[in-house]
Amino acid sequence: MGKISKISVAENSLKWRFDVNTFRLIGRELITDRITAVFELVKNSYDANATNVFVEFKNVSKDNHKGIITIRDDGEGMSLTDIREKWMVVGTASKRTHDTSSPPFNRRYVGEKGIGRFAVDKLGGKVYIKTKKSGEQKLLTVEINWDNYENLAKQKKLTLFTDIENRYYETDDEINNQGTTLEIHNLHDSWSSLDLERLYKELGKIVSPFYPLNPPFNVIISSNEIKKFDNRLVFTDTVKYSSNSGEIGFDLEKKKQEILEFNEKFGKIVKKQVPVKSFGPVKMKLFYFDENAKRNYNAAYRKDRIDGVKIYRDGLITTPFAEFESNPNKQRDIIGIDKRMWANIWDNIGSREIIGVVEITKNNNPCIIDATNRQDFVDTIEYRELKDFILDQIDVFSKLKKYERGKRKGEINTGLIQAKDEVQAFTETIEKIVKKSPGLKPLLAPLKKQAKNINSTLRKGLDEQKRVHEDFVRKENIYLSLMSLQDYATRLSHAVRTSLGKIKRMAEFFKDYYPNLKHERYFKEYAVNIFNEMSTLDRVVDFMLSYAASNIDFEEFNLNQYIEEIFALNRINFNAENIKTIVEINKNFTLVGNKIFIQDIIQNLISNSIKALINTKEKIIKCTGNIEDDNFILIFSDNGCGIKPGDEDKVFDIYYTTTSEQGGAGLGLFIVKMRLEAMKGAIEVMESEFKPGATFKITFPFNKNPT
Amino acid sequence: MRYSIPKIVVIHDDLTETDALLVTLRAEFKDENVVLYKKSKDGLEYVINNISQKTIVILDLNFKAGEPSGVDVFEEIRKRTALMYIIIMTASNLGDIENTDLIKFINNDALAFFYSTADTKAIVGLVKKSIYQMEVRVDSVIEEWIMTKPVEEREKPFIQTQHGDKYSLNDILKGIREQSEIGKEIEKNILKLAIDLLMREKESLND
Repeated sequence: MGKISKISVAENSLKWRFDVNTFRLIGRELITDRITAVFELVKNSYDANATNVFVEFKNVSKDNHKGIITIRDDGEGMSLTDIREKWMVVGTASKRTHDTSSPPFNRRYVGEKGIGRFAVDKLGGKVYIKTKKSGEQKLLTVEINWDNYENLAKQKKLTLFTDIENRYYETDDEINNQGTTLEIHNLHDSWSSLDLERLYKELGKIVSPFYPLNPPFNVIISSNEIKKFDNRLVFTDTVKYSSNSGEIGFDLEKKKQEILEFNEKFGKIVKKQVPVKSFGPVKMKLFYFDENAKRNYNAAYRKDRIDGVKIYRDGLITTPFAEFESNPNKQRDIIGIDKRMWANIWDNIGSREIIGVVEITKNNNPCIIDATNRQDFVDTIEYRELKDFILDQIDVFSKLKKYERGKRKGEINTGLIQAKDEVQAFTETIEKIVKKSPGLKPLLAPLKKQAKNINSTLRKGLDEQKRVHEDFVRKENIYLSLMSLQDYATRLSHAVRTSLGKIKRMAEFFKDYYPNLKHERYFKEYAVNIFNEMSTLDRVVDFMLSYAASNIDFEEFNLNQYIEEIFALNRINFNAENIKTIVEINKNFTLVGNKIFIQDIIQNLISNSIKALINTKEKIIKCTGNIEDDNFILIFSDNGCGIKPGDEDKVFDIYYTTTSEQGGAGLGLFIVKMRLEAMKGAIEVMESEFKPGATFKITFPFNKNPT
Repeated sequence: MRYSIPKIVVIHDDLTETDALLVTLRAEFKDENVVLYKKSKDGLEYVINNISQKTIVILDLNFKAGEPSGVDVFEEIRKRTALMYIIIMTASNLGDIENTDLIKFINNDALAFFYSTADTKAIVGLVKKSIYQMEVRVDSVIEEWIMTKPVEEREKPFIQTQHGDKYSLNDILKGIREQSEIGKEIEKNILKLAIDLLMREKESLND
């Protein structure tokens, strides 16, 4: 046995360190695309109690990295301490102790914790953060050079993220100024008019447009290059989201109050005038959301719920008194909308289906007084009458809802549908009871199970019915129908016959006139044309055969991911040609359809673009996607040689090609169009995003998954 | 009688100027007598503006959406004159043509129908035959004769019927083109007159 030497182990510790690449890793995971990046930064301004946010784009249309994006707000701003202890400390949010911002704003926070800083990296390589709090004497400017981080990351030597120094300095400023400005330079991508439109649409979703904000929150987009965006205020049309709405006002002089009434005969909501009520004249806007509208609204405004009726006095919200779901003990529904709902569940409207804005003023409605506990209004006769009045207006929408249900009944066999609706309502009622009194759950569970079984049986019965009768109220996930082989045959036979005719005539010409020198020039030309026509015909036959044999199975897949896969498959081609690709499909959703069809379409467009880009210096292929109403719209652009004016329709012809030197046989876009029409979709040429270049707009119609 | 060579107007969006058919037509009937219009609207306009010109139209049936279809062009021409020969040349299946349109075609003479895969020879042959027909048809001859008269004279009363109705050369021209009662009546009478004169050896064919 050997000597066991005593090894002295020094007590020590190791620290986690972060390679300079970390910021990229975090950023790329959190922010999917540029539009989202700007969206997150504007959300931060909202949380900072800004009333105006200016999003300015300067010289961004060219891909020369010389553009500047500026996001300027008049919010609370940050002090040096705020920046050092919060903004530049990864992992903390502002450790929010409240759910809402400071009064009088009381805004529920919408920003994702900690994302803001990395959103900037998504947009450009360098940012100047200029910020100032009111009361401070100096304006603070911090310079963060992400490109510098990038360069250091490339070096072999280990550089720590936390070791990099970022310059800051202070300058004099007006003591009462406040706000934060982010000035982003060295932009990674150019921004086209279409990109700004997409941004405009997204920025309209920061806060719900229904409940008026006081103090207000305005977002203004401006571009020094695009006229349409010359200080354009972001505005969302409320009508777009609700399924029905009504607005009533009053006439002070004539002492008349408008009310809503439901006209059974025409099935419409009408306005009537009555004398002003005891509580004084009021203005009111009501927006009703049926199932579809509710879905659309919730998809767009994930943090703002449809929250019933709110009362505003002189522009400021009074009730519910700064309530949010986080505090369920406080009264939310002081008007009693949901309470009423129990009386007639199938027709009455609950607070989750209606948005109402009631406007009262101190002058006109002096009898409506806040209670001392600030939880409600003082219980006077006038206040009770006001509550009844509001409920009466909501009832008008209930009548409309009932009428429309009745109308639907009349269209198809009613029995099954009514039963299904009633079982559905029954199930929902049970769930509500259980929520209120959880002790009843075991008792009610078997009832709920029975109801569910009945529901599924009814649904099967209904489906059978639908198969027999014409169904006008289709609720399907996808809308894909296939063109029959016959249609394809008819379409193609016309093209083929035209082609055969040409070949035949040219051959006949040879037969009759060769070797007559007078027609020498035609002989050569016809020989080449015959060859080309035959080659194209060969491809047409291939296409027809492939279609006949194709697997027309439908499957579920994520469109965003799939398109990225297709682009990945073409990576080698893109690299070989030095083509920069931009793929921005900012909605993740599942499509049920034929994957091969979609691949055909995208692949054809990519091939076409590659050919069109042969002579372009800085090649770009861009593919963006968005949902618009019941369609998925894909915009496919390149900055290649473009389409000759006048040829916008011809490009889809079976024999159109300007790229035959690069092996284009003119069939690509023809096939794309056929495939799309098989899906009841469409493709058209639109104004090019890049100049020069070409942009295609592809429409896939579908009904979104109702779950 | 000296005759003018008719114009051959090709209204077709799938043919190009160098198509073998066009080249052959030009070789047979001279360059200046063959014109190609790829847009149906332009072709129709040309034909209408030259309604008195002896014309043979080679017409496609399918044009782009938004443009007059082959049937539209056919109907517009026939509204104005029965004296133009129209040869339909199409890649569409005869079975795919609407029944109502087919009936319109059938109830007409001076009409022929070809597929795009037809022999050029057959088409050229038909054009030649049409030209000959236009020479010998009484109505074509009358039209040509009226067109040699100065414009003012065509408005003056030329013929008076037993009932006292007066007709000018223009009226007769219109009647012939539209194959109206008066047009057919006059054709018949002129033929009768010519035959009568020949029989009575008042006139002889000078050949």
